[in-house]
Formats: sequence, C-alpha cells, structure tokens
Amino acid sequence: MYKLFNKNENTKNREISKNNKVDKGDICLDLFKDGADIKIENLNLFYNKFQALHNVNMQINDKEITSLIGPSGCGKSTLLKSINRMNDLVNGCRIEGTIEIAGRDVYSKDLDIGVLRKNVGMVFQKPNPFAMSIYDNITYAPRTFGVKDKTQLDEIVRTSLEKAAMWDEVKDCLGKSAMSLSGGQQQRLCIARCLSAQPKIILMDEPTSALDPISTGKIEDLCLQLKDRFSIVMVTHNMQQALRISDKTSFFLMGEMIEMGNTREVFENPKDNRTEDYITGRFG
Amino acid sequence: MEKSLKEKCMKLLYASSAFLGIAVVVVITIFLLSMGLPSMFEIGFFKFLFGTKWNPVNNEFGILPMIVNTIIVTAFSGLIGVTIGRFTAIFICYFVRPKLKKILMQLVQLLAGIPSVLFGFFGVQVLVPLFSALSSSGVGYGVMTSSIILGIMILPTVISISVTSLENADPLHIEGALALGASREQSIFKVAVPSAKTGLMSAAILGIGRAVGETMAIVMVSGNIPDFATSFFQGIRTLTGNIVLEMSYAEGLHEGALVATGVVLFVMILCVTVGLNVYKTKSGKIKKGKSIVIDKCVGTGNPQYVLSRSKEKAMKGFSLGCTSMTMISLVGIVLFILVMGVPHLSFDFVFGSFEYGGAITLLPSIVTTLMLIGLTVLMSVPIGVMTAIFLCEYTKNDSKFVKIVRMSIETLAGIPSIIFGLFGMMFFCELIGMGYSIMAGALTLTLMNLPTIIRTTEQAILEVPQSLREASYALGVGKTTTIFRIVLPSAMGGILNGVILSIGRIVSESAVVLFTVGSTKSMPTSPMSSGISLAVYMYILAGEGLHVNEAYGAAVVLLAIVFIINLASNFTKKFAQRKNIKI
Ligand SMILES: Nc1ncnc2c1ncn2[C@@H]1O[C@H](COP(=O)(O)OP(=O)(O)OP(=O)(O)O)[C@@H](O)[C@H]1O
Ligand SMILES: [Mg+2]
Repeated sequence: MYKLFNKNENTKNREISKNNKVDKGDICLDLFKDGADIKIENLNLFYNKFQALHNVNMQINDKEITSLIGPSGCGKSTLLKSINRMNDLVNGCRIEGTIEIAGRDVYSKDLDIGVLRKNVGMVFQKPNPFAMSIYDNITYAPRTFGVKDKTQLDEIVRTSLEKAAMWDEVKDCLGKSAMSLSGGQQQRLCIARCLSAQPKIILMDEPTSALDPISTGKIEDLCLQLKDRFSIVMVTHNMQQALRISDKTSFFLMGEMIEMGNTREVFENPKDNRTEDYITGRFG
Repeated sequence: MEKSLKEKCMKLLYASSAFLGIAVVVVITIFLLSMGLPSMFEIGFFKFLFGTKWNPVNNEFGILPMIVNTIIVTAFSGLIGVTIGRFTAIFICYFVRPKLKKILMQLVQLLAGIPSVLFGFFGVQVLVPLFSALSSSGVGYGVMTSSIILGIMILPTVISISVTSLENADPLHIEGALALGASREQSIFKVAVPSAKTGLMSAAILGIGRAVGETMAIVMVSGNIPDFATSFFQGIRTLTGNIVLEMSYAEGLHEGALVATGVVLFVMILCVTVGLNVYKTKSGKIKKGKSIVIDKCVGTGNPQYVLSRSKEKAMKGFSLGCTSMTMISLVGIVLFILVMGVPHLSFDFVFGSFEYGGAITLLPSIVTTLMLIGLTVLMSVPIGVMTAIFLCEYTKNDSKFVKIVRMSIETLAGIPSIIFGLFGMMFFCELIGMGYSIMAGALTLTLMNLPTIIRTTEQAILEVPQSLREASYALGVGKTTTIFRIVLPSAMGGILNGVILSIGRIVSESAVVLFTVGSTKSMPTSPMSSGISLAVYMYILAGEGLHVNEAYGAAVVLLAIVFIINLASNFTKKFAQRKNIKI
C-alpha cells in the first residue's frame, strides 16, 4: 500500500503545487477522500475479562468537534483508542462490533493499520515530542511514508506548524531540540506533528489537562480553526471546554454511552438524569 | 502488504538472535559433556571424582584434592570478601555523605575493572614474599594468599550488589524505627539491614560464584601442587588452575580428564546459580509483611531488637574498618603497580616495533587487544541488541520461549571464563579448525559478552518512555521504524555503556585469550593470525620471572586502559541519564 508514494506520485504533486500553495507538500495515501464520518455500532470492548465498553453506538460527523465527557475510568480513552486501533497494542484487548469511517470498516483485514493511523491522528494527554529537533519531529512521519524531497519536507514543516499556529514562534529555530520548548509549545508541536501525516480525523485525549490556562486557550482556538478541515474527537474533563468548542457532546458512564447530542442541548437540556447529575457536578 | 512482510522478517531476525543465546548454552553444555564424560567414565567415575592422586604421567586422574582445595579457598575468600564487602556497603550506604558515597562507589567500580592478572601479579610480588617470610613453612603460596587475593577480587561484586539492595530497601523502615525512638545504629543494623536480606544474600552468592570460577589470579598465587591443603602456607591447586596449567600440552585421556575437570567446575557453578534462583524465588514469597513487625518491635525495647551502646559503637567501627580495608587494598594495589611500573615505561617499550629476538615491546599485544575488541564488539553488539529488542518489544513476559531465553542468558552470565576458554579452544580452534587465532578468540569473547550487552540494552530500552512509542505508532509508523528511529536512539547512552563495560571485560580477560588466541608475540597480520593480548602478555612476563620490570610496565599500561574505559563509562552513563531526565 505504501507503494502509493512512488516517485511519479511525488513529482505529480509538485507539478500541481506550483499553482496551489497548500497542496505543495501533499503526501496522499488518503483513505477517506469524501468525508470522514465515524459510525460506531454495537461496540463492546474487553480488557481480558473486564468489559470496558458496553454496546456503544454513535455517529461522529465530519468537520465537527465532538467531545467525550464522563467520570474517570468510564472508557473515554478506550473508545478513542479503538478508533485508530491503538488498542491493538494492549495485550488481551478484544473488540466486538464495528467502527466504520466513511463507510470503511476500521478493523477489516485488508486495511493497513499504518495507513489507518496516518489518516486518524492522535494527540495525547501529556506532550510527547521525540528527542529530536523541531524539524525532525515534524518530518518523522512524512519521511517514513517515503517523502524524501527536501523542498517538499520543508513545505510540510511550514504548513503543519502554520496550522498548529506556531510557525511564527519557531520558524527561526527549527533545528532546536523539541525538548527545550515549554509544555504548551510541546503540545502544539505534537499537534503539528500529528498534522504532518495529513490526517482527516484528529483524536485528542485530554490535550490540555497538563497545560496552563493560556496554553489551553491557544489550543482551543487552534481546534476551532482546524475544524474547517478536520473532524476532531476530544476527550475532556473540563465541562467549560466542551461547552466552548464542541459541536456535539457525548456523555459516558461505566463504559456506556448515556447520551449524545448538540453540545448546547446536552448541557442545557440533558435527557438523562445521570447526565444532568454529572454536568451539575453531583458526581465524578 | 510488502510492509508487513518486512516487519515479519525483522521479528524473525530478532527471535533468531534470541534463540542463539539458548543454542549457545545448549551447545556448550553438550560439547563439554560429550568431550568430558567419556573420559570420566574411562577413568572411572569414582576414581576420577574421589581419587586423591593427580599424576597424568602414570594415568592417575583423581581430582578430589582440587575439588577440596577449591571449596576451601572459596570458603575463606568468601568469608573475607562477603564480610568486608557487606559492611563496606552498609558504611557507604548509611554513614557517609552522598558526595563521598559517589566517590567511594566510583572507586569500587574501578576495582571491578582491574584485570585478574593484575591481582595475581600483586599477590606474587607482595603477599607471597610477605607470607613466606612470616610462615613457619617458608612458603608464601597457598590457601592464605589465594583467599586474600580472591577475597579482594570479589569485593566489587559484593559491594555493588549489596549497595543496590540496601538502597532498594524501604527507607520508611529506618524512618519508622527512628520515629519509635530507636537510635540510628539500631535502626540500621536491626531494621534496614535485615529488610535487605535477600539482596545481600544474592550479593554473597554471586561473589562466591565468581570466586569458584576465578582462574588466572589463582594460578599465579596458589603454588599449583595437586595435593590436599593441610596448612595455609603450602602450594595447592584448584580446579580452574588444573585446567589452565596442563591444557596447552595435554593429549588423549589427559585432555579428556581436563575437560572433565571443566565439567565438574561447570556443575559447581550451576549449583551456585540454581541455588541463588531458588533462594530468590523462595524469599520473595515470604518477604512481605515481616519487616513491618520488626519496625514495631524496635521501639518497644524487645531485646531481640536492641543494641547495647558498646555494641553499636563496635558495629559502626567495624563497618568503618571494612571500608578502610577495601579502599586501602584498592588504592594500595593501584599505587603499588604505578610506583613499580611507571619508571620502566618508555616509548620503545610501549610502541617500539617488534623484532624477533629484539627488545620487548607491547605494540603487537596492544594491536591484538584492539583487534579482539573490534571484532568482538562487531559481533556481539548486533546480536545482543537484537536479542534485547526481541525481549523488550516483541514478547509477553510470561511466554515460555522468553523464560527459556532469560534462563539461558543468566546461565551464560554465570559461566566462568575458563569454561568459555575451554569451549572456544576445542570448538573454534580445533573442531572448526581456526587454530589459535584472534578470530577464534573474538568469537569466544562474543559468547561471553552477550549477557552483558543484552542486559544493559534491555535496561536502556525499558527506560525509554512508552509514550514515545505510542506517539510514533499513532502517526501510522511501523514497528521497525519506531524501534530504529525512536527507541534505539533514546536508549543509545545505556547501550553504549554496556558496550564499554564489555570492552573492559575483553581487555581484562586472559583465560579465554590464552586458550584461543595463543601467545605468539609477533605482530598480527590478519584476524586469522595468532597473537597475544596485553593481559596475557603481562601474565607471561610475570610468570617467566626474567622480565618482572617489563611485567610492571605492562601492568601500568593495562591499568591506564582500564582507567580510560572507566572514565568513558562514567561519561556515557551521565549522558544517558541526562537524556532520560529530559524526556
Ligand atoms: N490496558 C488496560 N488493561 C486493563 N484495563 C484497562 C486498560 N486500560 C484501561 N482499562 C480499564 O478500562 C476502563 C476504562 O479506562 P479508560 O482509560 O478508557 O478510562 P477514561 O474514561 O479515559 O478515564 P480517565 O478520565 O481517567 O482517563 C477503566 O476501568 C480502566 O481500569
Ligand atoms: Mg483517559
């Protein structure tokens, strides 16, 4: 499948890109050309004998921000990780049901897991940049996908950092170690690194919980900007954050999806008592 | 799909390096048994094990004296080394300031790197004349000198493992006892030390294992008379000595008998290792819960947990005494060799070109040593690193294969160098037909160094944060790339340190090199030529008696190399630590 990026493909890209700046550093390998709706049906997930998710059904729309809320241990991260199959790395994890993105079964045998993850990016709770330069952090994924051309890589670095709203901050020190950045900058670099793979969907697992309010604000703004081009699924413990930025909110409790709807509605007019209890702070 | 084929191939590659570890242990065992057992039965099993006469000329091959001597020397050296080592560890852990502790531990590490031929040489030059003047028999060789030298040699092993286990013992125990009104000494000797019992015991057993297998130093100071030891001052011979002394010219049944001696030694070491494992698993089970009770008792005045004032002082004084002894013996040996050797150093002596019948020069031996290091590192690092990758990144810990791999590595680590030497000589030199050659030596040293490389690499890989791997996988990057671009670079400092440690072992090693590379003093021209390593050359110069000054000179050069390796190791350790903190 990686053959998709042979040389012809790359040169074609460059020809097109002369006219169009944004496309200049395109990697291709798109799985989900038209839309990236996620449809989850009857999802049950087990860690060995423990069932972490119970019959979850939900629809996540393209170019929207969906937040997942719920008390600690209710399975938010687990759900997120089953969308890009990071759960495959966990010993004893077993999945029933289906997850489809744009109509393609995520767990089907002929879907290459690498290509899937390239299309479904992930940002973690704690910033985890590689111990390399800023530049190398961002070119890491494209390079492994076969992009060798220096100008193309430069272009990817620039557009990724621009999209992550930190190009101006770091454009003069791309060779600096990513470790020397502040926590908030590191997290935005991780977002830029995620964007460098040119995903369609971005999964974020409490991306701001380790950050100060200013950095948090920056990342929230960033999410709102990115929404035009990506679907974002975000786990958050911060109700205000969910309210501020998300279009849809879904509430989880003990591995079950209790309620999902437009964010305003869920917060102002929850259908389920448990949702109301949680939002008004009566538990969790 | 092409991608997943590549991943599968890589996994197969890693698994086969891991398998190599098992294969080596199996082959060594089978090979030794198949060469040794027939001779043992030809001689007669009981006649061999319990015969009291070793006289190859008359076809008498009884090794009981050697077995008994080995046990005696091991016991005495163990007594010296374990006692001094343990109390030194206690002193270093609890009675000195952190800065001094660091310095002392560095000294211990240095002591660990000193080649055994240097210890032997020191014994011959200092202790043997000393005791021959003091003893009534007028003989300086024997149990006394051997035990002291061996005791000093196992100190680093005992100290470093003891210190680690004391550090890992719960600091809350001491604080708890102190809070209950116990004095500091009381808390240390009655609470902290007992709670680290398992670790201290492992340290002792590992030290003793080293003593059983030690060869070159013991050959130099034991006197080498194949008879029962009846006094402290009388020439004796141990199992290892028996093999080294006669292997080079033995033939037929004689050779078989020597290999059989190796088998006996192998079995003895195996018993020590197995005993250690049994002990560890057993005490691991009962450990929890007990020490809390002790805590509670300390403050209550229960006599079992009380130390009288005078006893407190005596214990502390004894620890101080042991620490001084450790440090004096280390610094003493190093200084002695420097003082005696430096005046004999000259450019021509170290770097002069070799001529037959000309003046002694170390250059060929230095070149040989470098070639040994280069070839061994070239072979052992890839295999060792791949095995470690397999163990860390590809397996669940409970799989049977992994358990067997780990057990093999542990066994391999416990095999004394003389057994490797024996195996290398018979397998690479004779069976495969390499003859005495640097290549045969490097292959044998590779087997010997695998456990070091595997363990340090594994440690380093485990320290790489899981979040970095996750970040890489989440980008859609495959396992192989993740390992090579993310995991290994982060683990580089630790891996490098392992490589440096094994370089130190190669420089110090003499038994293996003597058996597989030979003792040709001329310049090696290719990996297939025979040669002499610096350590072996020093051994031979010291043994010939004609060139004692040159031996001192060679010893200084050897020491200098060990110092440099030590420095390099410290440097890489710091480098590795810095990198990890940042992440
Ligand atoms: N690798 C694992 N093995 C076994 N059980 C796990 C594993 N990971 C998570 N769990 C369990 O699955 C349940 C859901 O975990 P998950 O991490 O998805 O919760 P969460 O909603 O993300 O919580 P938090 O808000 O604290 O991050 C928890 O009960 C947890 O103990
Ligand atoms: Mg979580």
